[in-house]
Amino acid sequence: MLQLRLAWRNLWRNRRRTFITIAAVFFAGFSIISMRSLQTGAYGSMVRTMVGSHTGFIQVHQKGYWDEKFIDNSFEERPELREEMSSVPGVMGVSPRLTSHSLIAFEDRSRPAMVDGIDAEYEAQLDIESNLIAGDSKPGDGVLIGQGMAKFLNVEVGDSVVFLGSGYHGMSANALLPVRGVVRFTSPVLNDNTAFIDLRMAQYVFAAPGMLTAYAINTDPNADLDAVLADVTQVVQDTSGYEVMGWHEMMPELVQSIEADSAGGILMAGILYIVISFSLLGTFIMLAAERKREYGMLIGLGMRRGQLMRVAFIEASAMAIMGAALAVVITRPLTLYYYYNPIQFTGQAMEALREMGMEPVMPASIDWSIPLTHGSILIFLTLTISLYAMISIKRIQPVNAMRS
Amino acid sequence: MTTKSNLVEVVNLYKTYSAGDLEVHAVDGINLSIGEGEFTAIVGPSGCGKTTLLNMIGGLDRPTSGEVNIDGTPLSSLSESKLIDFRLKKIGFVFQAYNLLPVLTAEENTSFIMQLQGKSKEERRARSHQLLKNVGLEGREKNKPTQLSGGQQQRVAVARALASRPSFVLADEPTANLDSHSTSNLLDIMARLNEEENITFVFATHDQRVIDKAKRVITLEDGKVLSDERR
Repeated sequence: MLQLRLAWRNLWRNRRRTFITIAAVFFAGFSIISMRSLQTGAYGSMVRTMVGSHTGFIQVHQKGYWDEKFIDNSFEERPELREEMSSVPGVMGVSPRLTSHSLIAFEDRSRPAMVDGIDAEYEAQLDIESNLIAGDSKPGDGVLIGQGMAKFLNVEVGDSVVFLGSGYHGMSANALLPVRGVVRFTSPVLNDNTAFIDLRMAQYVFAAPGMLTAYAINTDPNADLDAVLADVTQVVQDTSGYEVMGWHEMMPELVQSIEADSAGGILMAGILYIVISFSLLGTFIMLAAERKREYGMLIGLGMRRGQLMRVAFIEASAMAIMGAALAVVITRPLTLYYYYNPIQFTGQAMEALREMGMEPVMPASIDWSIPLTHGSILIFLTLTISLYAMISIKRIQPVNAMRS
Repeated sequence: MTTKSNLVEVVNLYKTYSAGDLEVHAVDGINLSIGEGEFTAIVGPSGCGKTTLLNMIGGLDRPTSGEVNIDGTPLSSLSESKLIDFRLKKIGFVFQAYNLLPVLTAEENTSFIMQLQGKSKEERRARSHQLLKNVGLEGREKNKPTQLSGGQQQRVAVARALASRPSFVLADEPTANLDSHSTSNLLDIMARLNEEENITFVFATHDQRVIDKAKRVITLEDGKVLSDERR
């Protein structure tokens, strides 16, 4: 109690220094939490765009399909397996898919495209309803295409496009299908280069009845992906015939690009931590020098060094916790705002991001682990640096200190 | 041999400081004893070893050789942490520069030592009020040091020194920063406490007003006892 009271009052005996210390911790925390929240949010958006909106966080294929994405590497549809995988905790949906490639043409324009056969009833990835800009949200007996492709081919709902491709085991896959809907996908790949037709229609067009190239699995964003992946693998059991892959394995280049970019962010955070460390060290050197005489007197009167160290520790903790807590509290509404109102890129930045297959927006992440991790690092850092004051107390000789 | 009446016994005490090849004997073979209830002034010119002797009697500094016995306990036998506890229980200190904690009130500064001793809140409160009353600071309990004059601060320091019911009080130049009125007031209080409560005071001073009040005057010169006069 005595130590707590002394520490608390000591905090306010030099208000300016206390405020400067708290402000230093706050600004470091604010900068690092904001920066990492935006970075992590951008990665989340990138993953959602490139993985979550189409590929799925987990996929089940015929073994070898991912290395050679040909329709010949397809497998027989197993509704009971789909049901079992759907009941795995953390799985939000399992979409059967049959994917192949085809040339799509309208009048004098054509474009190579990926053709996805989807089952509208089970489709768990594609958010067609909310992104539909014209026509129907279900392909039915026709095709759904992205806004970019519609623009390129100059087609509208009701026009018919020609498919020219190869099907299962070298069969020709040709069709004339009406455009039933135009969708504005956030992913440029989907928007410009993909056509969606009904799964049964795809199996018919590609001469692969009852065949699939993948079960694309959507997972709960809060679920532990590794645990879900392990559970799904256990359900599939026959791993000699199938491959169960998480998105990290399917898209290593995306993981690497995120890790490379994140390393830059961590380096920046590290530099900020070093700068703040020197600022805090200055504070504790001043504090120890100013109070040297007082510490000497207190030891002289009969206060144990351990008790004095606890006073210094409580003071340092209070400053660190106040600065870090303030940073967490102030950044929270900001990250929430930018989570719901992401920063929109325009001009060349927008074009560059689109070309890279990314949505040109930067939302903030609202993952609590970011502010809590960096808040904790700042507190730990402050307390570590406050060891300087405690070592000074440990070394104090009362007579010399009182003479100073 | 230490008798009950001898609170402090200094035996063949030396303190030598080295400055390069030069050795300075701040305390040079002092022998003396101070009994219970004495009001003693250790006097002498600056640099004669008064403060060094007082620091060693108070266990704040270790001698180069020799021994200080307090209430029969040789200080050299105590470890650093035991010496801190010993000071807390047995010795009261009054310093030249008051050395009050600026963040605590007069009452809290007085009860601070008792809190370190683990005394109850009620006991601390009652004793600190009584002590502050004894030094003429009734009604000033809630004042912080910055709200008190130098003389008043030094009286709080005296109250703090007495709070732990020490065996004796060591006062190093307690009047050096005080005006004559405050000095006279402080000395009257300490003399009264000595007379009425038989509290032992040992001063290191060169203030003639303190010397005049003292019942015993030990004069030092070059680290040695030049004279020891009882009045």
